[in-house]
Amino acid sequence: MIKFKKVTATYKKNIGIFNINFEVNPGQMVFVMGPTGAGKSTILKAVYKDVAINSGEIFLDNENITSCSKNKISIIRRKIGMIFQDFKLLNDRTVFENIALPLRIEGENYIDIKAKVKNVLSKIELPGIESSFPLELSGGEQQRVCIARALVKSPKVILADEPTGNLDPNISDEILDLLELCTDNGASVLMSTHNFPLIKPRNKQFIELNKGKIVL
Amino acid sequence: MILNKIIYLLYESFKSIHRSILQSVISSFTIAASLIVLSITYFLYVNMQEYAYKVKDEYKIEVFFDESIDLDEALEVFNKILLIDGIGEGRFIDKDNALEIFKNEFDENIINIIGSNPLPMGASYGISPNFRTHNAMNDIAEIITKMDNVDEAIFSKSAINKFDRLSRNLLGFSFLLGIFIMFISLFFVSNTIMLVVYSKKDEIKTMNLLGASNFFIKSPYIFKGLILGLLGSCISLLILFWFYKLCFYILGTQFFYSNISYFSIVWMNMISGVLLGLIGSSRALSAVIIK
Repeated sequence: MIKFKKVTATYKKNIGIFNINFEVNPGQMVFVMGPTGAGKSTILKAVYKDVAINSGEIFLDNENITSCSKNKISIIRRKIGMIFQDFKLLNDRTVFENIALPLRIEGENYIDIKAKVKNVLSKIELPGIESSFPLELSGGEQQRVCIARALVKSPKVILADEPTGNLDPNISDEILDLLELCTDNGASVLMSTHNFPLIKPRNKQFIELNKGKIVL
Repeated sequence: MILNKIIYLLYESFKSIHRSILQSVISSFTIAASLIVLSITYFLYVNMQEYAYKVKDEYKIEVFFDESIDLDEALEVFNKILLIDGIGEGRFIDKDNALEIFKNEFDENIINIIGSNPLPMGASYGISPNFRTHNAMNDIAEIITKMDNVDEAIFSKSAINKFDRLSRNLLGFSFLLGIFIMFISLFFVSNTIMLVVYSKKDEIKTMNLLGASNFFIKSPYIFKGLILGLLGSCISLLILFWFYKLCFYILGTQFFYSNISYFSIVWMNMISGVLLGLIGSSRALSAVIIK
């Protein structure tokens, strides 16, 4: 589902990722581990086309996405469910409006949107909060809403950039449970984290990065 | 699918106005203020043009024929002059008319003073609109003076010269002022809308990451600019209407020469308002989205 073939992507001053090879299959969850500045976020950014690729190839859902036009980038991003450390919820919109946003972007009709949002809210065990605003929720609840926003369009690929970075350990475990649940439906999940104790008991595949290179 | 998107984007535009009501009100009033100044400048420009036209309508060339010619010869010269380019209508003045004019102007009957009528026959000619300048009238007067049986052709040279210069300068100044105000308005409106767009910078980035196309991100702001432009033009029309009524009440009709139709002002305001809103929001968006 996600495939990196000898990918190098650098920012200024030669910081970035170098010669990265890995693969995430359908229904698989892979963690990207490493200290701050190791290149975890760059790997995710390379998938959602927020960083330019210097060399190598990236495949998403068997499609080579190494180089593509601006219009194509938004189409690629619509295939991906994204979860951010800082949630990136729109604070002046209700939970319903936030979760519905990816479906609005797709141009779905209101009746379908309503049903899908209701369904995903029950999945993340937060029913009845549709009309709340993000700032009225706790950090854990906000991250759940962020996950709901990523899941609502049933994506084949989910990218989670340090989704537990701002949360306490219990909530972090619950968030991981939710992400694991996504793999049951056949989605590939690629999650970056620097919290090894959190992922250790999960017994999943992980890639360890240091200074932009895979060390394990 | 596209219809769903358009409905949503329109809904978002109205919601966005509601969410940032203060900024929206400021934007609308900025547009309204610009349109008011622009309308007043336009009104003054058209009024000045109309006033200048009315004054120039009075431009005349007075021609005096040789004393020695008889009535038939004088009429022949009179008709020949009518054929000259730039001459509008003409009025023939025979010796009796000349006597009457002298009597009206000086309140004296010249026959009672010197016993006979020494006044020559002549004519007064109006000037076609395109020739109502000092130089053109001078050329016409020279042509007439060179004609047989014409003693002289005169017009108020210095007054016309001064008025020509004054009206040219005033019209030029108000035209430049209009253009200047347009640019200033555009600057203010786009900066006000830019503030709104800047406050949504993170939201724009998030939508971008979620796969929203530039069209999807930009259109609510473009629609918003359009709506705020329309709102601004309505406010400006309302204020202009009251202002016009007030001026009419204080100054009376004699200061308003123009016959500008109210519809032209309404349309001008509506179109300018919408354009200001659209250009302002597009300019603001391109500044924010490029960054």
